[in-house]
Amino acid sequence: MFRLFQVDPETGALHVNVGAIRRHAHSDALLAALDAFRSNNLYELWRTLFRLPESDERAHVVAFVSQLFHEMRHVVDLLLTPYGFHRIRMGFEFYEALPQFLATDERKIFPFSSWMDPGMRELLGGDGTEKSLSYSVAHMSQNRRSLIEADNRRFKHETGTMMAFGGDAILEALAFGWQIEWLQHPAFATDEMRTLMPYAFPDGRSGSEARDELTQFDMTYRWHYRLMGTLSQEQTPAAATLMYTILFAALCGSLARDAKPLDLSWDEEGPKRVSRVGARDVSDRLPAMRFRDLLGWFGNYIERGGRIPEKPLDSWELVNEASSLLWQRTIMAEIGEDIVADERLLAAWRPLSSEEVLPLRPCAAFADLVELRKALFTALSTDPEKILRPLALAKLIDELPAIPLCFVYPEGTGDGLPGTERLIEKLVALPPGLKPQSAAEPRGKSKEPGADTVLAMEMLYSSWQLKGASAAESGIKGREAWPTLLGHFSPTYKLALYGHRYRSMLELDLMRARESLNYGQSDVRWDEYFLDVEDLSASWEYFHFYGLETAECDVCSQVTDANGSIIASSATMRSSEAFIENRRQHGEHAIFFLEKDWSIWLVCSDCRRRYL
Amino acid sequence: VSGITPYLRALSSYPADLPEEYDHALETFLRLVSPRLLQSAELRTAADWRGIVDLWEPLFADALLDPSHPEWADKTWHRCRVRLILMHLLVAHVQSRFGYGATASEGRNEVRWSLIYLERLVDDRPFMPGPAGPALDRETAEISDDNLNTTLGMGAQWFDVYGVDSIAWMSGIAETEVRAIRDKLLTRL
Repeated sequence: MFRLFQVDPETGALHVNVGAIRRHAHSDALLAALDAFRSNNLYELWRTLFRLPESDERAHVVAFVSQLFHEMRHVVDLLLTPYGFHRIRMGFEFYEALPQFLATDERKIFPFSSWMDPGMRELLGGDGTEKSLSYSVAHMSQNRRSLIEADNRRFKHETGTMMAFGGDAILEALAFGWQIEWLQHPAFATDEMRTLMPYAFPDGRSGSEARDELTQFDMTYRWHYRLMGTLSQEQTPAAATLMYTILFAALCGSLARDAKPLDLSWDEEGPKRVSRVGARDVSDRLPAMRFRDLLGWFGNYIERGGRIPEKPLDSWELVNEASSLLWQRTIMAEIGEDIVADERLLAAWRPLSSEEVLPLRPCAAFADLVELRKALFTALSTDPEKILRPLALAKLIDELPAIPLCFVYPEGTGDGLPGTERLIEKLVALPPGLKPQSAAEPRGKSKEPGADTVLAMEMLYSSWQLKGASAAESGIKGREAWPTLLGHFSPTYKLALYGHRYRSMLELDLMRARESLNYGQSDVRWDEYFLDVEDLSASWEYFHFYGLETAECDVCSQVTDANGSIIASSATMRSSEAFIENRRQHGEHAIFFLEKDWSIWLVCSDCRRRYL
Repeated sequence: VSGITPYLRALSSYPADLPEEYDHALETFLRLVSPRLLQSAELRTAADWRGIVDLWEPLFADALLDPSHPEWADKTWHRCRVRLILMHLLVAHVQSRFGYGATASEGRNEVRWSLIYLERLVDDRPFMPGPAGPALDRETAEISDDNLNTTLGMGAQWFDVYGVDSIAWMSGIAETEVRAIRDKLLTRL
């Protein structure tokens, strides 16, 4: 899948595909915008773009920054809402258990869903492992995942498209709404913007108002538009504000308020048995259920003659009132209880190691995220408009220091952005005659390498930083824990739950996590189905981003367009034997780059039929 | 690199790997201006003239500190900000000369800079009438033009009080040139 940004719901980190950005015709301006964001100037960036004269370059930067806004809204919702933070907490519960999980010399089956399935367990020789500690950890993670999957269940619409009303769908609706609120401002709604991002404008060529037909795009990002009819016949700004407040409130059922932390402590005889979370009824805390109930309540409210509030603050009060009547808790009370649960979890984790080791453990990074969450909660309780109004939220984001950013260079060449630390680096020997390429060298100046010698080229894949502030400035405690967390723990978690079927721009990390599991464990078994990668998607986002009508197929170099091509992930291409054979025929250099380059492939229809 | 990159880079605290043709001068100028504007307005309110002069000193000789610079031709918002800086500086130079009795050498420089800035302001064309684009709203443009007229009026008083010959002597600029500036100013007023 072609992505510029991706939020990792299990760490709260924002992944940035710097490799793709660097290939853009306006890459200098895009990277400058990214740097302004890293410098805590998101708000000023918007103000500056607002005032610059219209141009094709500005339109590309505005579209790019709007995507950044989209993802940052995800980060805020993940951190602040109980559903979002539950996703993060799920990850950290696993990360904390991972060292002990790996330390036990027991048979382990991946992914966990296959281990939990009685049939697959027997097939993979896992019978009898149910009482092991590693099984308990896997069971806990799989249970958490099942809950999220139940909430995000997809339904088939009569148009043939799939839709969902769960937490993830709500997160997308909130982020998309926030993103287009920027784009629809008169200063940005220029002809260039309408061409670049037609779906952001109601009268654009993909606008749902202009057509009866619904696409998958509508079902993913704009499914809530038609539900606004429950509140008002017209899609007025007030109805939209109320809908977004309802969506936000749907994410605020505290899943953790009466949960108990896992006991993974050791005694003289080895690890204690894991005490599992008891059966709890969480149906009224899942976003899909809460959204349904809230929408029902507001449908009755309007029928009773209730008026839609004009101001965001009044909408906020009204939705809090509805929440109190439905579940005996306001939104603020739900988030407050959720944060108390986080404190309980931290209090249970902290004593498990010495003070020296503590800063290296995932719980140190978790503590930073909880602090970040508290800052957002304080902002929401003192002035809800800081969260509810887009410009105010942009200012608030600039004030939040500890958000982890992960920069990915899928092409594998070049240095990181200034101020970032490397997660993974490797020295490799180049085949004879190949020149090293480094983005650190000033463009336009070719630097001759020492010919005829085998050169070492630094292959950088990803680097990271905490947005906008050094540890000393912001009091961050988990700085030392983040690199391992982002580069090893998080990919291992994704691999353990989804195999290679997790769509990520960090495919190399998943591969390395698998190597690490295979070599570090004596008895690991894999369900082969989940090792097969099939990440194929439409290519229109690629053509939109680069402002292209046509482009060359990355395999055969034939010219193709958005209708005649797809995007295939690097691991997907690598899993095709026919394609590997094709690369071999192109010689040593083609194989070298295939090994090192983890960027996506634009594949024309002919090559797709031939190789995928 | 032309276009909008310098404006965006001015918001960043990270060094960047940029091509040779990149306009570092513009980025440097914008980086110096942005954090100072609010401070300058506060100093103006507090009548801290010496503070204003010290604040903007790094930009004294910058060619971009001129509303008629080609860089600002299609950027009304930036032109408005440059004009504001010049107005603050002109008032501050003149007032500090009157109020704080600068030394002879400093005073000579003060007068010289005052003349240079005054001429740049005289040459600056008004925003109104004219369409205020999305970058600059009508109200801001009108206020800026009003302020410019007031500042130019103060410049005329300055010539009245000191006379062309004294100003020429203090600034070290030829009397004919000083007279030309005054005539241009009076014509504009």
